[in-house]
Amino acid sequence: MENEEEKKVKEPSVLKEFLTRRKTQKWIIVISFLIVPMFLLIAFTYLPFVDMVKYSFMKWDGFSTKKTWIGFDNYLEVFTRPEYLKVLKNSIYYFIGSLIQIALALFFATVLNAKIKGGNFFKGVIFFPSLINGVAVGMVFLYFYKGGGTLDTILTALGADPEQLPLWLGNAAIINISLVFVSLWRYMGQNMVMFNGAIQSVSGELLEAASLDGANTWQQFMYIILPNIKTVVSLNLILAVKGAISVFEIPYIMTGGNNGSSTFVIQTLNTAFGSRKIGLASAMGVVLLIFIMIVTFIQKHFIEGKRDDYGK
Amino acid sequence: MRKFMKRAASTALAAAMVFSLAACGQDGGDTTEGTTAGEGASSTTEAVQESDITGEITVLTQRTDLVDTDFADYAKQFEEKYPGTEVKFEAMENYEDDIAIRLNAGDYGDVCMVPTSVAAKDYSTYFEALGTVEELSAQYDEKFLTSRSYNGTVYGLPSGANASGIAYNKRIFEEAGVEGVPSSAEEFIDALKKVKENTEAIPYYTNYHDTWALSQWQSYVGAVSGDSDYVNNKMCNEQDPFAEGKPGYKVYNLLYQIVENGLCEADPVTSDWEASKTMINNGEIASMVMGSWAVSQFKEAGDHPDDIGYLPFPVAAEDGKVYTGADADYSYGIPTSSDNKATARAWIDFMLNESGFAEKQGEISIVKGAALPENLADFEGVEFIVTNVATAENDGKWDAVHNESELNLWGGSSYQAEIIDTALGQSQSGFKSFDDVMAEWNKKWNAALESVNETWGQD
Repeated sequence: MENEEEKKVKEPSVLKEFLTRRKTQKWIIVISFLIVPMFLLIAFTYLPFVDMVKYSFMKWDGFSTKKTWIGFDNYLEVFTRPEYLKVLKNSIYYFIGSLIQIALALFFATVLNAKIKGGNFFKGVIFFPSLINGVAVGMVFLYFYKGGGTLDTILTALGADPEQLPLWLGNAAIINISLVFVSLWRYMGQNMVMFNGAIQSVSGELLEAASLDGANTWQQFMYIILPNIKTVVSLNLILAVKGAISVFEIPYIMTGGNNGSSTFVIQTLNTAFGSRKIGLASAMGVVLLIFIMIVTFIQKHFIEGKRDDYGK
Repeated sequence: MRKFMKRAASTALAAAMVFSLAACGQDGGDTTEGTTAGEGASSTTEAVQESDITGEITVLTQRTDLVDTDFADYAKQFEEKYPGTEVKFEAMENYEDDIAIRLNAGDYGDVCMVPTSVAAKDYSTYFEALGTVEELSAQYDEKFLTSRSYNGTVYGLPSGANASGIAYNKRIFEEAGVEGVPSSAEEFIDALKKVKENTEAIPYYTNYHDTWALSQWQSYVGAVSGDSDYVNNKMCNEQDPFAEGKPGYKVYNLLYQIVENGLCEADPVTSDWEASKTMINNGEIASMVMGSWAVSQFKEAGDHPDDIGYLPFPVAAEDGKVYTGADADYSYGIPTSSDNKATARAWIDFMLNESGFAEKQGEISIVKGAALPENLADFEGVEFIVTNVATAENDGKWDAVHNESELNLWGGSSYQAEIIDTALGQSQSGFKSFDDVMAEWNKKWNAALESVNETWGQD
């Protein structure tokens, strides 16, 4: 009888001991903090993704009960239809735009790095556009680019002939340039802030020493600042490629993708909800994802390569 | 042990709070709180006890502009008529897109507008039977009952019917010297030319930026064919439906001619739908191709409601007559998942017979013997034609071929935009003429038809 009592006292104490061990405590905390985010992640990202991959092998219109398995036919279609590949041509506009965007961001970051009057104010002004909702930006620029709208009014006031002004969005030859400018305006601030942070990590003494030796600002930039922030710049370049391929918001809001401004993601949306080809649209989504994964892989490889240069 | 219990309890409580917060995000999309007494399976046309009409219903609608105004009034009237009821509205801007998702999820209210994307054979899965065509044709005009019916059973009652015509500004047409109502495509173009020469107004506003506006043109194909069976039973089996002389060709050709003759706005890409309503009201725009649902919006958009008129689409069918298509607007349906079907049915009956909604919106009421609304005065004597639904063997075929072709004519697509692009000389595909555009549409339609025919009828 006494043994049983001893045993009864022992078992809870073993469990209790287990539970109060540091390692177990750590695990309990980790799991309980992760449960909710993991649940959300799985429910709203991974499960839908698995479904999307599943749908990409099927022919389905989105709500009828009939789903036909067709294997890789959808993928074949994505790669062989010229209109999808044609649309990637527009991404080149956005890519060139982002190169210009990065260059401008570097310029402003360098200039604003020095302690000039109103430096913070200008940083705020440049960064502010990326905080505004994309739809609002689209609407504002629609009025800006309208025939007789804000841009035309400004140019006329500066002396341009109103008859000669092109239709910024109406003219299919320049519509993409107009849209790229909107994108540039919106996202340059983000790049600038990143570069600013990176530049501030460059030792001020180095720059002082260089200017004492007679280097001007441009030389300081090229030979001291730029090499030290190479990692951040290359990261932004890779992000620029990703952004250019999956551009969606601005052209969709402003022109619906018409008049030659369509993009791959807009086409995907129209295929899914306009033509009710969920299978094909899912395949398009997966193809986009694979493409971006390839780009990310290149980026990691590239950056890791850079790190090796610094002896890590 | 106590410490552990304390910690476990607080963790569980925290988790419970988080989960309940997530659930809080749901808006009042719940169906009923007060269930109806003795509600059995789907009701068809049994007389509903007054006592069954109680509790809360959620009405899904695409009219985001009316929820706080007209609909609130109707809800009040309904709640007075049937005490104990409560009507809640959920309005959706992108109705067709959003409702498709909700149908899939099984959460679509007590009354909702039957989406155009549901195939007729699927009606019974999602919606309650409201009665047979025979039974309901005692009260409602038969030609409107077939739009949402399958095998003689009606699943959706149209909230009104639109006569498809062209909205125009009467004052501007008068000032320009246009006499009478144009009754052919040439007369209409001439009228627009007069407007351009004699007034400051834009003769025609394409609303290119809002591509759904281009899809309005698709609704005239049925009327211009002069044949009730054309769209759903013939076009879906026809090769080259956009060839010259075909209704599809004739309809879109009018749009092409308008743009080619420089009779539209200078910068279609930046057109603005909301602003255009005010512009047509005060005479800056002379005409727009829109369903009759838009007329009341135009009237309310400014200070000159009486200037807005509506004229029949002036393209004649093969027999030389100009028909006007009367198409049922969105139809009220009762989801099979609803918990309060009796009240939902009472709401539908109220909206159709007592609220005056259709007339206020300038739509033809489907109630038998109802007078034509005021704004359709120019249609006196015009023959209305309703496109019949598909027969059993063609059911869903038009949609199947259309979806396969990716022309997206009902959603407003870049293919329709291409007509305007080509007319302006900047076609994205290098087209030089209207015939080129139509040739491509034919090609896509033919390919889709072939593909659909391979597996059609093998369900």
